[in-house]
Amino acid sequence: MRIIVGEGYAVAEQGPMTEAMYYILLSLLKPGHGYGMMQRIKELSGGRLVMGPGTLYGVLSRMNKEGLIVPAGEEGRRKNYAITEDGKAALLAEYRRLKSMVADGKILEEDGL
Amino acid sequence: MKYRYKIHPYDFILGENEKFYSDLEAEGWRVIKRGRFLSKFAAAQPSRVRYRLEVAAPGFMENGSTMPPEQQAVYEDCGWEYVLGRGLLHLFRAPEDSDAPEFYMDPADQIPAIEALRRQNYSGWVPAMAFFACNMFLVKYRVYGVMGIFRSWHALMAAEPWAVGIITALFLLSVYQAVEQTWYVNRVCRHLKQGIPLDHSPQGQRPARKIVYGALLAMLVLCTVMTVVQRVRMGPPSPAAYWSAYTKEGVT
Repeated sequence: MRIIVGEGYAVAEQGPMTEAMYYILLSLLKPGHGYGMMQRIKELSGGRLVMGPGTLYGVLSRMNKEGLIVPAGEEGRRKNYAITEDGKAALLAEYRRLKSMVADGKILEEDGL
Repeated sequence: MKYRYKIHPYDFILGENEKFYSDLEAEGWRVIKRGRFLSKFAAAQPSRVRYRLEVAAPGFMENGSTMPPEQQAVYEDCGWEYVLGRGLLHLFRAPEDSDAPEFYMDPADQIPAIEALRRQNYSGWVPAMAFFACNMFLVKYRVYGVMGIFRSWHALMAAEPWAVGIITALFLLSVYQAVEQTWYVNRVCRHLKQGIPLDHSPQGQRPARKIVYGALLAMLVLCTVMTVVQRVRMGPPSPAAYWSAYTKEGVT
């Protein structure tokens, strides 16, 4: 999926952001390296999401190419990443999309489901 | 230290390779090196481990034979031990009862890595097809000129037909392997897109593969033996035999 960012908003060119991308961007609001991100994602999701190293590294590479994150220093072999302004815009856009979807789903509660 | 060698499954059959190494470690043989066809094992304490193969997915013109250190660090921090790397494949190990997470939670996330195998397979087809097309062109248009080496090669085949069998068997073996790899990689990608994860412990080889490989290997062995027998009984072909095939119209 490619994110186009402009004028303060992000538009997903081919569809919604994946869960992995969303949580990685969320975790990178504080710069960190791969394993640290995995631990943080586990905390953020309440233990629901345990990301595999293959998934994590693949998504990091893609988002780095798309300019949503940038390398931010190294600790030995571990490379730290930080979210960019484009990444924040994409994250916010996705958050708003998910919020509006949840709001639209309120009829489920009204119908007693 | 005791060592042994065993023929391992083809690179592209990831699940079979993983099971292969896991089963041998359970018998007390730990892999220390992987070659083109053979893996080398050292005697070790039998243990139940999970082996997983990761496919490096390099970009265009990038070298996939070395895994980036930061990628290796992520996997190792999760509890996987890096064992070895060869070509696009990198082997990791973790105890069976450890909580090291599987590489990919969502099967679709593995597709880019598997597609690196598909690209590698396509590049393997190119030299074989180019060689075949070049020879067909030379045979059809009798373009010998400076290509004398091809002409004398055809003459050699005409004088020693069992050699044709060897070359044919090798060619058919490489074609079958390329076709099988294409079929396997396409099937795995299709399954991954459908959410079916890679099978890390496939049970048994398909009978068709055993039959085809068995037949081609038998043909190769037979032609090699007959070539040697022909040479021993009849001596090397006389120059006249070569010249006869060399100057005939067409190739016989």
